[in-house]
Amino acid sequence: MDSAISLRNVVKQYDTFQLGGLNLDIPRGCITGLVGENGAGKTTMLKLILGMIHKDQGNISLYGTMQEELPEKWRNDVGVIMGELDFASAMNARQIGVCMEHIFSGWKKKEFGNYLKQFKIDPEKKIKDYSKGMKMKLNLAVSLSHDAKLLIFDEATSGLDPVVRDEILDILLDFIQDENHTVLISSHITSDLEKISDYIAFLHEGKLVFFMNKDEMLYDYGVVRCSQEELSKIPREQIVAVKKSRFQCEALVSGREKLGKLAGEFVIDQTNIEEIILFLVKGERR
Amino acid sequence: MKGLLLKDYYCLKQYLRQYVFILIFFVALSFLLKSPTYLIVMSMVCSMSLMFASLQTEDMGGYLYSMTLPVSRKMIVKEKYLFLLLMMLFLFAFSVAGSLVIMACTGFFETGNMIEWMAGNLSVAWIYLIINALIIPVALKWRTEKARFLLMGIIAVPAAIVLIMVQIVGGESLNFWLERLFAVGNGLLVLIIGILVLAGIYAGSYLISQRVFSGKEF
Repeated sequence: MDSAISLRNVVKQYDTFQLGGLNLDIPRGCITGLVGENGAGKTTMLKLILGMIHKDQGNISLYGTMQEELPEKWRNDVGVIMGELDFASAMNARQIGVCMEHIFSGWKKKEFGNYLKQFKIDPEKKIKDYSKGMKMKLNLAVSLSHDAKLLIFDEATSGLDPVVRDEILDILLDFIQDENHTVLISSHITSDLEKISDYIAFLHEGKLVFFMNKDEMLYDYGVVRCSQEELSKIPREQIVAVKKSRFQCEALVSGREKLGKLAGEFVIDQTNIEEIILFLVKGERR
Repeated sequence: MKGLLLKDYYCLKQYLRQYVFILIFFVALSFLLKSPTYLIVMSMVCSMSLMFASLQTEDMGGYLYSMTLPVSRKMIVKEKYLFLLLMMLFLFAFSVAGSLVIMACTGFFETGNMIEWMAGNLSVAWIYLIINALIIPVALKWRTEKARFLLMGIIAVPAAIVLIMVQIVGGESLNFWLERLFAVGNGLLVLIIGILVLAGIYAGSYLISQRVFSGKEF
């Protein structure tokens, strides 16, 4: 599968934090969810891709072109949500549209107007009077109104109510119907990513822990709740991480199907992204 | 470029009404004081305040947002210089026009010295353009709050230099030399030096700002 974004040994060094070396291919035509705790490096990674911060090492390419060789106006093809439009609190949606008309070469005024109607955004209302959800919807309307091929969203659904989040997720699913479109979205709300993502990338303390097909991951991983003694019966190579309490052990296991042969001795529960992350962060990794 | 200029304009539009009131107040005060230069000085003070407001807005995520748009870092800096210059020129033009009206009403044309008035206005504009040029790179590098401290320095340092020179050379002697300098070509030499210094400081400021911004991380 073609890569929309490719990172090769990308390193960003700060005084107290290092991201990388990241090696990652974000497939074209898919939604990739980026997960990790606060400070894991998600925003740093997105900013590196967008050229907002400078990498210390490695290469980043977008649609096969090295970042350094991208044309000056390459962001015409990218829709970004990062931040909450605080600087523009005195502006309204109509004025944002007027500015964008002169900034994006492929700006679609009519489509922007339609999104404002769909999101019930009053074009004359000042942004300072918007709710957080409204600001996010306006951001979304901007990023979808200029024929972008790639959407990069940083915590676009955080702090929003379930109805608004669901609406945004539906729009992203609709956007991805075009096989040339790609979405890279970071979120703490793993249930959102579980609904829409094709791939999940998990960052922990600046390192990429895994990048996997979501369906395969959820099919492959499982959780076994058993005693310490029973745990020893599980082949070591299949135990990914273990959480121990006074009375029982919980183990995140891979190769659920293979392990199924031992069925009867354990119950292997289905798992979800959040549980996998908690195991990998808080559990004892094997 | 046009989109960014509009963005800056819309962001500052919220202050428009209060600045219009302030300027009307200054027009009235200049009229009562029979001092057309007063209006020009105060409008330049307004332009300074608006410059800080504009730079502050960028610190609140404006640059970050611009970096998500199809505009280069160079373009963002270029636009910022152009916008602040246009704003200052607009206010200068407004205050000159206002001053002319005041002069007509107060009979300044018959009694006042027009050349001195012109020289005074240009000096005021020159000082504020220099301040502009010094503030922008500092605000880009260390944000607007630190640039405000620099403003105090910009005002304090030249004042201190003049005071020290008066102490060393003596007020009368300094006046003598300055008068001789201004007499060369009826002030033409000073005008040319002023323009060259301004152009040099602006060019340096712009190049430093481009350098600062190209390495800036958001």
